[in-house]
Amino acid sequence: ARALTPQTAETDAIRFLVGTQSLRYDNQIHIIDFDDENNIINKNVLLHQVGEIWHISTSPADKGVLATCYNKTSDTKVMTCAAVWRMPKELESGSHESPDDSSSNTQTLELLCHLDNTAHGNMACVMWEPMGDGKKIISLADNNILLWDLQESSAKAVFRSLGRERTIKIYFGKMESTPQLYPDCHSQRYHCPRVGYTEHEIYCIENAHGQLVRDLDFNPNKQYYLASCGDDCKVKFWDTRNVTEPVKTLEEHSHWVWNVRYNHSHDQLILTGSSDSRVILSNMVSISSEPFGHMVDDDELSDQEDQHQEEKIKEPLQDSVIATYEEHEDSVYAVEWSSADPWLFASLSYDGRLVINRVPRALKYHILL
Amino acid sequence: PLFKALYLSPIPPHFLSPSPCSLPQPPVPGQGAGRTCGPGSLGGQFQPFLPGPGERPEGPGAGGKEEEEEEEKKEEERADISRGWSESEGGGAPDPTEPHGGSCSAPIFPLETWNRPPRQSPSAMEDLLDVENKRMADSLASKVTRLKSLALDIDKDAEEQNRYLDGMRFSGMARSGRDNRRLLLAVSVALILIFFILYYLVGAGSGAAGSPEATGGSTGGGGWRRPHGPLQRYYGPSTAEAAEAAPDPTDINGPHFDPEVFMTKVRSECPLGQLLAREAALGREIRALDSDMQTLLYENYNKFISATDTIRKMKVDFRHMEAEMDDLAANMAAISASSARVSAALQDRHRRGAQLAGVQALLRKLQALVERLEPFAAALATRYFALLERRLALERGLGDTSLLVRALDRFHRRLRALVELLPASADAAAELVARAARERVDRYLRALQTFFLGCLGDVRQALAAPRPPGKEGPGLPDLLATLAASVLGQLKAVLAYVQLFTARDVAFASLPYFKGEFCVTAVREGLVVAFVRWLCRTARGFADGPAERGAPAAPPALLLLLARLCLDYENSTISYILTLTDEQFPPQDSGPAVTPGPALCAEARAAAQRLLDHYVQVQGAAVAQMLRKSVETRDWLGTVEPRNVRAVMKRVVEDITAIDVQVGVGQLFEEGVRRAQSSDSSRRAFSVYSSSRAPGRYAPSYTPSAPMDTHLLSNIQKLFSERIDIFSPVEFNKVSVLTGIIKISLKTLLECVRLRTLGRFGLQQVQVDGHYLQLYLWRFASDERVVQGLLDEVAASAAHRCLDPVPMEHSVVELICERG
Repeated sequence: ARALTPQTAETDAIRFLVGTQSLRYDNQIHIIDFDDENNIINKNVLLHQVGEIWHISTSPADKGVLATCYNKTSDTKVMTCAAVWRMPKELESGSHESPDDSSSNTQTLELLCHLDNTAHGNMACVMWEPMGDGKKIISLADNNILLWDLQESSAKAVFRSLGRERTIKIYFGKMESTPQLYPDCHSQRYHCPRVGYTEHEIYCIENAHGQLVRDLDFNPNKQYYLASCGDDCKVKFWDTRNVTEPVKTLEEHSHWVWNVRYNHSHDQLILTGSSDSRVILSNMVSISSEPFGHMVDDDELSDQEDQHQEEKIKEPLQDSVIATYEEHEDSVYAVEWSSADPWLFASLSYDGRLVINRVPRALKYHILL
Repeated sequence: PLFKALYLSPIPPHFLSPSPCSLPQPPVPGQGAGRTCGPGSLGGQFQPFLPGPGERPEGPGAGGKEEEEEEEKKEEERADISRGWSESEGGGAPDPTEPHGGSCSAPIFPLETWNRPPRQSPSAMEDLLDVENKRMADSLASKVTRLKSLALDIDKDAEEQNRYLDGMRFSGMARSGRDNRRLLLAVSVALILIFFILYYLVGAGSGAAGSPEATGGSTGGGGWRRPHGPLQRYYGPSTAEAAEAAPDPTDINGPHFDPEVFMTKVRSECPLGQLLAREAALGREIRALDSDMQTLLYENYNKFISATDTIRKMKVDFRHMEAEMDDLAANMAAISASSARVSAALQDRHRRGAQLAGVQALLRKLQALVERLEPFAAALATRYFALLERRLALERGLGDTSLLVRALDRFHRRLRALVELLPASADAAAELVARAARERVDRYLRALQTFFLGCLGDVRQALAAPRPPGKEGPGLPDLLATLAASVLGQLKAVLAYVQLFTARDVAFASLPYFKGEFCVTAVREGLVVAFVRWLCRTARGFADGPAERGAPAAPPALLLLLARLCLDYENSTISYILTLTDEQFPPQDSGPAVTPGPALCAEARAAAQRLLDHYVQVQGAAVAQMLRKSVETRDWLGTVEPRNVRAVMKRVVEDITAIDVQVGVGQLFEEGVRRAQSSDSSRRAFSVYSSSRAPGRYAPSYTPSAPMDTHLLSNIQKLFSERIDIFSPVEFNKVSVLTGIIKISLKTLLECVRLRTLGRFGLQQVQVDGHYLQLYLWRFASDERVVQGLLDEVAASAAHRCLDPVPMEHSVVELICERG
């Protein structure tokens, strides 16, 4: 399984959607509810019969709407398509308990629309406009970036073809107030985000990684910072205002890094997943939007003695790896922060194991207090 | 103030307002306060003398008019209190209701009653009295002022007289002090008499002026109310006759004053009792005035006497002074005489001093000359140094060091001859020599670096040069040996050259600098250690270099070579070089701290490690790239049944074999392999194991019946197998290096396969390829289980990604592989 996403529109419950990859069986979308208080994981299953899910993303506006990229296999051909779905009403909120295990109460998704990509090749991924009303989607089909407007009956605009290099992923960035596209193509040796609407290249980071660039994420609070990861086992942090040199480089993984995610609320927390079966949570204080002095200021409100003690503790806490999670037995292909609880994250490995972890309590209090 | 006090004091108190001091009861406190505040500046001036508000000084002063009025008013207010007060006269304030009562018989009062009808209304009487009082007070004040001015004049006159008298006496007319005194007395008495006559005249005039306004109704009797009557009365009789017939103002002022008339008038008009009383009163007053007058006179006289005394004393003093002046003149004459003598004596000395000053000036000039000469010499020396430095700079090339050393030696010797003359230049000379030596060492270091880079360039060229077929190019070991030998030889040569600086026959070698600091700082640290460090840095630079974009990546063979070189340095060369250096340049015990050998070794080792890791990564990436391309470009769904191993796999095996050769050839990293005996033994064991049991292990995973079991099985396997770190650091031996490369390659294969969807024949192809790889790769790896595990995972993933997982018969796989 490779597809994992938090339910973006859900802000109360901790919920993740996981798409399965199986060639020979019906694929499913598992809605994982995590009850934080009781440490209970509750699972609902939706059938996704059209094919194995390679990418999944949920609408930021509507809890029930999600988009998937899936493989349609015929005898001699594999075609990756994308579609927008609506899950059954009763599962939207996920409130009801399902005492029976999985398959008994499987339900099917309602197809909202099919993103027709026959002219453009395989769909690699689908992204919702992050701040929008859930009407705009961009998708990557081979080397084309497609913009879909769901309101106007699947109108679409093709932006450009991104050259001959193979593109793996695109991203919707949210910069400035107007929704702008920041798709970026990951290619063999370079990595160039481009703006969508005006279709003009803003910047291009050449030779970002020694080998393939696998993923990138924008700092939610400082939009000119982005993190990228790739096959050279490194996570690099870039300042898009000056792309000649990375701001920081993390070399903690011992194999390709597939995923990098900024925490939505505390952008010093960086989550990376790698095919060395490890998930690493790092604390990049030096390039976070929360300045160093902030915490000290807060401390001054508390007792003086506490402050001294805490400062001593705080000193070595800069730019360090917080924890390495080795629960997975196979390559980790997806890591995601929960959209509801900023201290919770899930990671998904190839063998289908989903691990939900918390940020260590000490660090959490350290950041909060 | 003196005069005021002097001349006011004789005025009889009853001329003034009645003083409250004689009151039986103290005044009301409120009044006292008001009085202390009320008066003007004068009242304030007097205040310090007032012990209490109840007491009043006798002389109210020149400005006391208002005060007197005030006083009188108050007096009237407490008329009842002062009822029993008999002495009051001017302000008498007798109670109108009992005008004749008591002892209140002021001399003017009968006049009043006499001038007016005796029975008058009390209020009119009171008014009349009041007006009278005021007028009298006014005139009294003016009189007092006039009197004062007169007294002043008299005083002046008296002084003049005095002076005149003195002058007379000085001129020889003076007689004994007694006569003088008598004369003085007479004169003063006469003067006083004149004064009183004058005063009398003046007083009469003013009285004549003031009378008309004083009384409306009274005709001639108004003169009786003159307040200064008593004085006039007193003086009047003194000139004419001591009688109480004086006080008719018109008559008394006039020159035709006839006491007879007055007497008759009084006698005829007054009753006897009144006459008697008046006479008695007048007599009293006259006596009082007389005594006052006497006091005044006496005081004046006293002053005269004291003045005369002073003058006399002065005269005596002058006489003394004259004598002293004479003495002084005599002394001055003596002093001038002695001074002349002294100056005469000094003249000789002065001449000698002038001579000495001349000599000193000469000396100073000489010194200035010498001083000017000294910079000149120093400038010459510096110029010499500069010239020499330029000459040395010309020697910058790596000329003959022995020549340089000899030249420096000569220079130094020559300078030592100069040392006695110019001690400052000796240090400069030593410094120059030391600098030259240091620069030479630095240049050697640079030359060494250039040489090393040149050697590296040669090696790179040799590696990159297309090898002519048939003829093997120089192998890596040869290159390495050449490189190491040439570098070492160069280093030795440099050390030998540098040693010339410390040769025994060279004079400056005995300098402390060359004995200690030069050996340690310049040669050992600056040359040898710096070179080794630089070498390690350069080597690391090849590993880190590709990170900098645009730099040409170093060929893997070079990385390998450098890694070996660094390792060699770590193992032996560094210690050898350091020993050599220490032998040739024995360090002093007290010298600065030197970099220990182990630290350098660690640096070299770290560099070697980094290089080797990088080598593994580069080679692994190359192989992985090949595999990735092969997996990604192939259509795994529509592939046909595998007939042989794919060319890519063969290529991979070839490459890895080549790497193996590269790493192991000429014993480049052979030791490592030999040392890894466990690996050796396991290999031998595996040759049996792989042929017999490995297929057995494969077999169940490809049974078509259990595709999910495969998954489960692999999971279980993973549970027991160790986690594999793909990009982990490698050890310094061939097996480890190759294992690293193989791990990277196979993991890439795994990940790539997972991204694909395979058909049935695709799976079979992967199976064939995997088996082929296993057949040929196991012997390169340190632990065949790593290869095994990775390939198992590839197979499992392929099976998972396969739409129709039907594995090939194992025998067929083996057959194909053997055929390939």
